[in-house]
Amino acid sequence: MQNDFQPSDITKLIGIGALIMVMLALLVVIYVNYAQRRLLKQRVDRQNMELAHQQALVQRNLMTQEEERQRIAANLHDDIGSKLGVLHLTFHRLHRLAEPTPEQESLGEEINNLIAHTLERVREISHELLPPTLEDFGLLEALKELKRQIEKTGAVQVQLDCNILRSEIGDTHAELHLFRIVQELTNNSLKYAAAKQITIELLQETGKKHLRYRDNGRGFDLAAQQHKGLGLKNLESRAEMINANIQLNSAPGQGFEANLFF
Amino acid sequence: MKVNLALADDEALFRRGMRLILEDYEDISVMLEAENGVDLLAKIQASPDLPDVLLLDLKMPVMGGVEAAKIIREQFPSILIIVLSSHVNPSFILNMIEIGAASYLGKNAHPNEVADTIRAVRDKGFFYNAEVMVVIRDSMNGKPIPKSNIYNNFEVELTKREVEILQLICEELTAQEIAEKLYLSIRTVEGHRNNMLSKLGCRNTAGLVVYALQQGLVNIHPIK
Repeated sequence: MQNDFQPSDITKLIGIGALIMVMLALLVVIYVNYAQRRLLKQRVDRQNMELAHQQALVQRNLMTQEEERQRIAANLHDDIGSKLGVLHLTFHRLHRLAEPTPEQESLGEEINNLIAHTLERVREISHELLPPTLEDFGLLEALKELKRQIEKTGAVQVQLDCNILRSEIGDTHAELHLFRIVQELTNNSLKYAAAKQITIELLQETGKKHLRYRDNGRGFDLAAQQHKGLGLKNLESRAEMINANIQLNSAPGQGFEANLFF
Repeated sequence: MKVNLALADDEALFRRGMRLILEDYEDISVMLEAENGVDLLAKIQASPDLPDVLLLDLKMPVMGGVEAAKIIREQFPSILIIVLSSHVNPSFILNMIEIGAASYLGKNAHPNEVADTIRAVRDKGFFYNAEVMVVIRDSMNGKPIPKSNIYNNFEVELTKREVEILQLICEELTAQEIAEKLYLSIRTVEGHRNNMLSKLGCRNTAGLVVYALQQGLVNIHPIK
């Protein structure tokens, strides 16, 4: 048996060896790449899950908060408020029974004022928790009321335009969250942005409804707000709860704009 | 003549207290009490005589006063509605007036004011106290054409005489008093009023007053 390798065989062998090496290397690269991607995907998935979980938490939080507010407002108004109303009447009946002495008269006056004052406070607190206008007359009327409240301070003008009928805006759930969103936005405009003019528009556009909110305040760098304040996070959660798409737009010196499509 | 009154409030003690107080006034008789809107409509339907005036609370279970007022304005337009609510704010006042309330009082109103309002509403068809007048007037600030006054687009022109009568209506004079003051017959005054109602598309005198205030047609001295 001849044992002599021809140089061409050696070259062939080296070639095959090299090819195998290259393929192996390629395999390793592909595997590492694959493993990395899998790891990355897992991480993204986990992040997404965490985000979704967080979002769900925020939403549940908001829901609970709304339910609590509603409950306290109703209890305050229906129980305390109406009993105070009865007290007011009963007091007047007592007052009619006999001609009071001057001292009784002045004590009576005091009691009467106290009842009126307490009744007013109950009304104010339950109103702050949940504006009754929203429940009885809908979003547009509640926004008009908000406009009146803001303008009463004298420093800010609010323009409110609406071309949607109440029945088209949405159910009470949607109305409540839309109202809270505008309330939050006006708070920001007044507190941080020092705006002088606020414009709120409720528009019917082809196929969807559009809530447009603008102020002429000092604005802020949205990109720099990576750590979103609770306010902004709540806005997004509320928007998501009513299947709305929210876009914010602002830059220093450029005012602020929010567009909500629902 | 006695005013036949209906009372709607979900708080039984409040109804009882109000009834006891109002029945001290000889010219007021409470003919009907209800604890919510549905109850109220059923009792009005079942009653042989309609009440003249209704004292209506807004927050009630099952059916609240807002809904009940809308239905009553449709089905029993002769009943004059006085809202008696703890919610006294422009939104509530304006919306209830738009629905057709003849008057609006806070729950903390003095019983004498309630009785006076019941009589005034019976005699004149409406009674807006100073607070309500200011709310109506201010509601027009900076808005040329309100949605409720579509007739405005047709360039309605009131005659001098009509504006004069409108002014007196806003000053809460009865038709009789206006007739005496202007040396007219009561029928002429009523004729002018009815003309204005149809010209302006208002459903009642209260509507005329709202129009006059919103358009700044008359001078009011709300704080007397």
